[in-house]
Amino acid sequence: MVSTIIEDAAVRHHGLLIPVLQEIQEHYGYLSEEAVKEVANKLGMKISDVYGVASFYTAFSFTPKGKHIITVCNGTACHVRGASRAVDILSEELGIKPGGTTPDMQFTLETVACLGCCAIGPVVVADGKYHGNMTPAKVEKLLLNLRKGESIEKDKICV
Amino acid sequence: MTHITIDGIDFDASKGSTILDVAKFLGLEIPTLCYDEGLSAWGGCRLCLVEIGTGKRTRLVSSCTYPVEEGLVVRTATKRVIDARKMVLELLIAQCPTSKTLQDMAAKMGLDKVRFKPKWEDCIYCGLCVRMCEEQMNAKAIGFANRGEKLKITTPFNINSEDCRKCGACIYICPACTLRCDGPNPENVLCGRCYNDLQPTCLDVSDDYNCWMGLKYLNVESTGFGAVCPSPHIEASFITPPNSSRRSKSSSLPLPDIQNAPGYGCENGVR
Ligand code: SF4
Ligand code: SF4
Ligand code: FES
Ligand code: FES
Repeated sequence: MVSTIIEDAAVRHHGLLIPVLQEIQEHYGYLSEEAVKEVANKLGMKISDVYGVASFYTAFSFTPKGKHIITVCNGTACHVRGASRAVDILSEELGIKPGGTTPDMQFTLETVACLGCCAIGPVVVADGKYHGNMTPAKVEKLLLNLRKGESIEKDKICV
Repeated sequence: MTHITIDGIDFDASKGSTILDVAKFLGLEIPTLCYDEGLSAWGGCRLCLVEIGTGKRTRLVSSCTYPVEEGLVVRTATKRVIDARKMVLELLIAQCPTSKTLQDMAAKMGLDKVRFKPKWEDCIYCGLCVRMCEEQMNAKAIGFANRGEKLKITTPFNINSEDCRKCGACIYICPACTLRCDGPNPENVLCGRCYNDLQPTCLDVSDDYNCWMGLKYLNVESTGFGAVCPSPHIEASFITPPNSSRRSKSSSLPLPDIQNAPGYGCENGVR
């Protein structure tokens, strides 16, 4: 239930908005209208305030995201090292544009501007795992592995 | 009391007042756009810039948000100030050339060219509507959403908000909602200024006479402004009743039907 998560999160985070939204985003993969209203209600805020904050950060999404989230860095360093090729390959393979989600809700493709690890660019983050030096071949392989459902350790860096 | 010098006038301002307050009290004209007496100052539009400091150490600040401080030296109309204001206005007009409020200001300030590509947007992000809704209407139905290029004023999720009282205050205060007329050259970024070359400005005229361009009841004899209409463009065909999608700030014009309008009563979206 949304409301129990919110209540729980609100207590733990002393009623701070962003951490509460983060937990909902994490749990459901997106912020539903219902959830936003509930958060406003629980934290004693106006819906427009919550919406304003939630829409400001790209970390929050109002539409459901896919099971796997692939984020390609298109910051300056990654861009000059050919990040666009990674984006092109992924867009073509998945049939979606950056920002889109496949109809079967398996993949969401996103781009960001710099993840702060330019040295290993171009960087592709798949479900929280950082993959560096992504050549087109490595991108294809990564996608294949994701499709096969290979288990992925979270927040691990692999270069 | 705080002692300041503004345009050479020595003045004891009460603590906590802003430069704009003092200037207003002394009758010094400073253009404002995002400022309204009934709302908190926001400092968003930068039209009210003034120069503070002396010698080489001067800088521009927004007078509507700058509180007076002891010994402050203010100049409200130096070349630097005027140039900066004109640049700001140029940018604002490029964003939203359809605003009569902006066109009037441009006429007053003598802006005669806009070097930027017009965007024909319908909002200049002055935030007046948001503050109006929150501070006067206590509704907070609308707010800023997104950021950067995608920034916009909207209700949560772009749908009807239960918090909205349908009071229309946001429309009332919106400078972009005072649409300029379809005058002689509506495609031009700067309007024809039929009356704008004179005082009062276009907005004042349409308010006083409740007529399209202030022309319907006005002729050379009865202008009351002691001037022959300066516009070479005015022809009978041009004196048409306001079409319903164009609004004047005049209170006697029919108010938009907020209750039945899709969204929030403004065809341009949420207002
Ligand atoms: S009409 Fe609605 S959105 Fe506009 S000021 Fe009134 S309450 Fe706010
Ligand atoms: S909608 Fe109007 S009042 Fe609101 S920010 Fe835009 S221009 Fe200003
Ligand atoms: S540009 Fe990609 S990590 Fe910095
Ligand atoms: S009126 Fe002061 S910044 Fe807009």
